[in-house]
Amino acid sequence: MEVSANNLLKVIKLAAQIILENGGETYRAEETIKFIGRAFNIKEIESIATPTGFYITVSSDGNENNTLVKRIRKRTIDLHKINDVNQVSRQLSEHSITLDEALEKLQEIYERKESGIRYNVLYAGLSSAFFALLFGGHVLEFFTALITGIIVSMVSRRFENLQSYQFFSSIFSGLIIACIAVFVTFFSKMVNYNSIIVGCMMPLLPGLAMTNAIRDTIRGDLISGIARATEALLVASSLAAGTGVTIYMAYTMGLF
Amino acid sequence: MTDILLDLIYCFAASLFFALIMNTPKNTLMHTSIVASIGYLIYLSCSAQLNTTLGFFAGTTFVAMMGEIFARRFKMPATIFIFPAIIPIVPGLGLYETMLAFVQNDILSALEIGADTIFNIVSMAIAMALVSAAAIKMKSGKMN
Repeated sequence: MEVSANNLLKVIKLAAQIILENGGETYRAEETIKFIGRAFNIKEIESIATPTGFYITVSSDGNENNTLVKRIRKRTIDLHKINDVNQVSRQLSEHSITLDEALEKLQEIYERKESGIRYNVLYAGLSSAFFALLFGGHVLEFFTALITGIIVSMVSRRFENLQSYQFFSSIFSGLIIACIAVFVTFFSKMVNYNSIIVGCMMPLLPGLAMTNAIRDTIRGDLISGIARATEALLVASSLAAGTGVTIYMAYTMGLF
Repeated sequence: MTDILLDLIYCFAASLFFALIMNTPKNTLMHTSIVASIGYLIYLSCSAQLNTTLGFFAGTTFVAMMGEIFARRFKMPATIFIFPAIIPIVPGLGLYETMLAFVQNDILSALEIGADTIFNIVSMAIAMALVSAAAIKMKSGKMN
């Protein structure tokens, strides 16, 4: 099947971009690029993907090369989008959709906003609350963690457009969590601040970065593996620093 | 017994809502949450009976294996199943206790708990790596 290299490059770029921006593994981005290229009988296709950007070179006839460099600046987590891109690349390799249809679908996936931010905030609160119960909390801790989780998720949304989004959002989340927990404990002696803090920290831990670091390293993507591991370390330590500073201040002020 | 049952329910709810935050596809929500609670149960019982680090290893192995199996069944990326289900096992408590000991100027116990937490994370990493290496070996060039 003959396709214009330009169109193909557009589809490949968008697919890889969505995967990397929404928390997919880098090997998934590279493999998606390779599979789509192979489905259209491209003579040479080579790509290098890292969590911060990717390079693709496509040569449809073996003489002329088309190269594309894309920097990834925003990284969030949206598993649904990764799954949808996976589906599109599957359909493309089976030739059940054309390149133009794929481009349209990918555009639609790329521009799709999160459905219901209000619900997401509530889910974050409920998740924190149930983790607080799991770590030895009772009714009071449940409701404190619920409110804390909601506040943290609303505040960390404000940082989303920042360059060093993860660092700031985790350090501030840690601060807020510990502040509320210490405050509530100060006024009601029946509350156990440990379970509130751990419960609210659990959903913010860098589980995806850790999982991806290992999955990338196992595939031989050493640079991506180290990058993800650094990301996981940064998030975990800034979260701990945020809570630690607050608790330290509470100790020195003699609040408990 | 009731304690464990309650823990399982809490774990199920916590991972269900966590999966919802991460926008997991709707038809996989139940699978992930159930795998999360069973993985947590395995982790709890192994660390109570044998050894904590082994508990982390066993729990993670189960979650990662189920993730790979579901990935084949649903033709979806394995991360979708592994990531929300692994969260209850991640040693957040160890991280917090390390930090708390540092704050209380108790360096010795901070180092002790910290080393323990790092061991646990490493054992989780090894479990995940083993399972995904086995999965790569088995699938022979198919994308999932």
